[in-house]
Amino acid sequence: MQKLDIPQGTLDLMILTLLAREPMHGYGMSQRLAVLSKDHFHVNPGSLFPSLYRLEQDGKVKAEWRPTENNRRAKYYRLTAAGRRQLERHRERWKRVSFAVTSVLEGA
Amino acid sequence: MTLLRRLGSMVRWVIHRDRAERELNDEMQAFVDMAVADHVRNGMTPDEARRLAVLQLGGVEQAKARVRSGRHGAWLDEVGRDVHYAVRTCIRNLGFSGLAILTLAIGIAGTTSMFAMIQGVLLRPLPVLDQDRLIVAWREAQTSGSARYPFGSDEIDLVRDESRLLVNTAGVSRNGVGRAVVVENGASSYVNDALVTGAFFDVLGVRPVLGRAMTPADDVEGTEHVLVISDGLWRRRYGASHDVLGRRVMLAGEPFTIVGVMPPDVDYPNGVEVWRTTRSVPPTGPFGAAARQEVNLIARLQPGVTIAQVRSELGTLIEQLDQNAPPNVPRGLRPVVHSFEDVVVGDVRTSLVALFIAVALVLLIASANAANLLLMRGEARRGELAMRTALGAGRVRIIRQLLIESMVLTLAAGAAGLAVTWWSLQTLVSLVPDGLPRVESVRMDARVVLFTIAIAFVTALATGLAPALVSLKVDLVSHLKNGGGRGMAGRSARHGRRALVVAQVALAVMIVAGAGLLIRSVLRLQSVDLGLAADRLFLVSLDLPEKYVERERRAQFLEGMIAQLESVSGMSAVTPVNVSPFTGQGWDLPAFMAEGQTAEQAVANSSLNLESVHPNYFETFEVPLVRGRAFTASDREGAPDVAIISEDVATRTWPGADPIGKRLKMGGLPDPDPHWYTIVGVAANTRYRDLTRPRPTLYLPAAQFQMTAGMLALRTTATLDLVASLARDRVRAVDPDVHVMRVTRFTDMLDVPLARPRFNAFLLTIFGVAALLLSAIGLYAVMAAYVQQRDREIAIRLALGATATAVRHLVLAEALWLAGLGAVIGLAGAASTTGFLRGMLFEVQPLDPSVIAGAALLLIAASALASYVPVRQATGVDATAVLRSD
Repeated sequence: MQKLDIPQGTLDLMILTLLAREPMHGYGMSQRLAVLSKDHFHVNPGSLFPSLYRLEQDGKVKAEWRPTENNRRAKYYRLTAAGRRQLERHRERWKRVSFAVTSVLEGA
Repeated sequence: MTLLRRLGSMVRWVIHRDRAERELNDEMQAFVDMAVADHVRNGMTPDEARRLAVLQLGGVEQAKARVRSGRHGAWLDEVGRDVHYAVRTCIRNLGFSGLAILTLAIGIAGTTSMFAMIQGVLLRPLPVLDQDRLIVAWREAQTSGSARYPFGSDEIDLVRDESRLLVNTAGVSRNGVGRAVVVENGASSYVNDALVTGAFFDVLGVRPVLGRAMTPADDVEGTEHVLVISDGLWRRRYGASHDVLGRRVMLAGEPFTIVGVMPPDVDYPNGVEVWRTTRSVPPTGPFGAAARQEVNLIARLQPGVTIAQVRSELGTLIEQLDQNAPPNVPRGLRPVVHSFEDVVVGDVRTSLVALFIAVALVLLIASANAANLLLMRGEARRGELAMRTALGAGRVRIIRQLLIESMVLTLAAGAAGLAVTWWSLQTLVSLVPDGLPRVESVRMDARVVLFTIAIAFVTALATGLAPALVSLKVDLVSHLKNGGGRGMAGRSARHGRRALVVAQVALAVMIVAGAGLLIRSVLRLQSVDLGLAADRLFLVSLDLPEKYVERERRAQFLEGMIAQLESVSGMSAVTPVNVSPFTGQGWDLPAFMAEGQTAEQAVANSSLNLESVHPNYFETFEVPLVRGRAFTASDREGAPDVAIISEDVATRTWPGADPIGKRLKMGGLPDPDPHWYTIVGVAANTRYRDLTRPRPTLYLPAAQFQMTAGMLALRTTATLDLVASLARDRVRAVDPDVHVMRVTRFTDMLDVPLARPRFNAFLLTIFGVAALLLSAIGLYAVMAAYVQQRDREIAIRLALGATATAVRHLVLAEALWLAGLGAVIGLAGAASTTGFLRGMLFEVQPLDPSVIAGAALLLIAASALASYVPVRQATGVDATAVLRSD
């Protein structure tokens, strides 16, 4: 199946959404995104990590090294209060944008 | 996100870069490992799984690179790489970068040195409290304005009591420092002493570093005399010892006790070594009245008071003073008020600022040179730049890189310049003539270093910007297409370089013209007609003991000395003298009135320099008497009072008439019982007192006026050493208590007033030479490039049969066109700027045509010389080789 490009600016929103439920590591996020998007999105590390690092620098997420369930060491990211606020704002905006776009498409 | 936080993460990234890098690696590795584990779990062999994982994830390195460039402070990395690259490029082109750095270092060192001078002399606050609230004032006649009338010590106190705008007032001797003989432990020497009133240090608001300052209580007739000494004297003479307090010394024949030491930098009046009160001068002695009556007013203003307000208040107060003044003093004078800073720094400001402007122009020329070199190299590197653009480097990126390269060059030059300044400042300060105020506070300090750094950055921008902008215009694609070889030079680059050379030549003409004017001034000043014969003339300074305050004894002693010395063979004449020449010091007669003049006419009379002389004065100095006779021994006390005037007084006061037999009196007001002096002779104008202008002079016989001489002038064919030993010998024979302080050639005295003009001319000449050399180098470089880039055109011309001479003319014409254009612009520039130098010039007009035209011609000649090698190269072009190479 043809993979989709992730729309500009939505990767941050998806990352924040995933982390809102539980802290995750990078690989876990890429797997979970594939599952949740019904395998439409394939996020490679070349896009994922720059976004993660930027969010970390901006204080939206925090990272720490922890053992995984398989006893590997991995860097787990979790949402900060600032990240939660950003998620609320972005989710709100995304809803309005997608509603607007859908309306236009269906009304035409 | 706050700036602080951004900065923090930037700093963390820079500092913990290794750790961050390791973490990023680990994270990527973990990512791959987990993917492999998943694949294995799905049934792949570990090898297959790893291959697939790496393939799927692909670009691990790209991912890392993107993470890195997304960080705050990532640009620092890039800048670091650019700097690294720039340094490497510089080292690779050592000849080029060496030349550029040297050029810039010269400019930066010069500018920094001058800035340090200005910072020390002009900008550093004076070591007084609130210098903006200090003023110095005196009085001048309403009309003529040339004569200064000081205040009396008593008047200073009256002004303080009556004024509403002045907090406190003091007096300071109007002639600045004097020379006084100090006798300590039997040895005598000179110190520079200043007479001040008791409140002087209170008004200045300075505290002693040791002991106490003098107070109004010390400034009372009959109290014990106290001395406050300067830091310099304290260190030099007393080894900075604390025992100096309470020490008793004889100064000018009076006992004094040292009570305090002032901090360094307190140098007012300029050159002062000891301060004492005006009332420490014996009231009955020859200078008693002058010391008390001739002080300038120094005062501290109430906060917020302006100089104009003070001037108008002083005007009113002076009218009050007039009402109580004795009848023979001039009235209706107006106050002249200056800020303390102006009085301290004085005319030095003009020359320092002029020199600073000149050196800044040199830096500009140096920058133009460096820009030129960069432009030239930019052209050679167009291939490289085109390649980098093709590989995706943005224009901003390339401009940044070029600017960083010029920054690396200028910072290296700045560092070199700073080192040179360190050395040159010491030399400069040691060369500075005596009397430049505050020169001891010139030093390398944080502000000077900051200035250097700032100027290096500005220079980097100035030199880097032109090449960077030109690089923008280069059509890189076509450049790559035509093989990246020579091709036509970038038009804008070529125009840019030519414009730079023209500007360099123009600036150099301005500086050289300025230097020429100053040199010409010094030459004029050196050869000016003194009105007396300076050769074979010597001055012997004597320290006369207290007993010679008495007029008769002094006269006897001086007569004895004259007789002793004149009997020596080879000695043609000897005469007593009151003041050293060319110091500007002496006695002033502010106003006089010729017989028959009204008070209104007398106001227009110039103030006179007063000389109290012995009969052989004119003979000894060989001052020609243009009319009448010299004084004789019979012009003694009791005989009719006679006078000799200088020629300018004669022609101004009695135009067209014979002044012999005419009479004049001191003071500009009618007098019921005038004391007339009959004129018996007219002497040539002399510059004895002031080298720059002859002073209208009134000579009176010492026997009828003041007998105060402490020096002897000798005219003899003997050498300096011989004169010195002779003088000691004969003095001992007359009175063993008298000491010879100093024996000087009269011509050496000329060095004092010449020192400052010579120093200015010397500095400006150095700048001029630097400017000349730099612009010649600039022209050379441009012409060399011109020949190189047009070798194809030249080759074609040669191939078509042009002679070598024709080709040479072609190149030379270009060089002369550039130099000529620069020279013309420079002429205009010089004509409009040399006016700044007016105050530093002597009998030379700022627009002196021969100097300015000479400067332009010099630059053209230097340019022709600089283009000699490129012109020769032009004819050496190998036509066949060049034409084949494309």
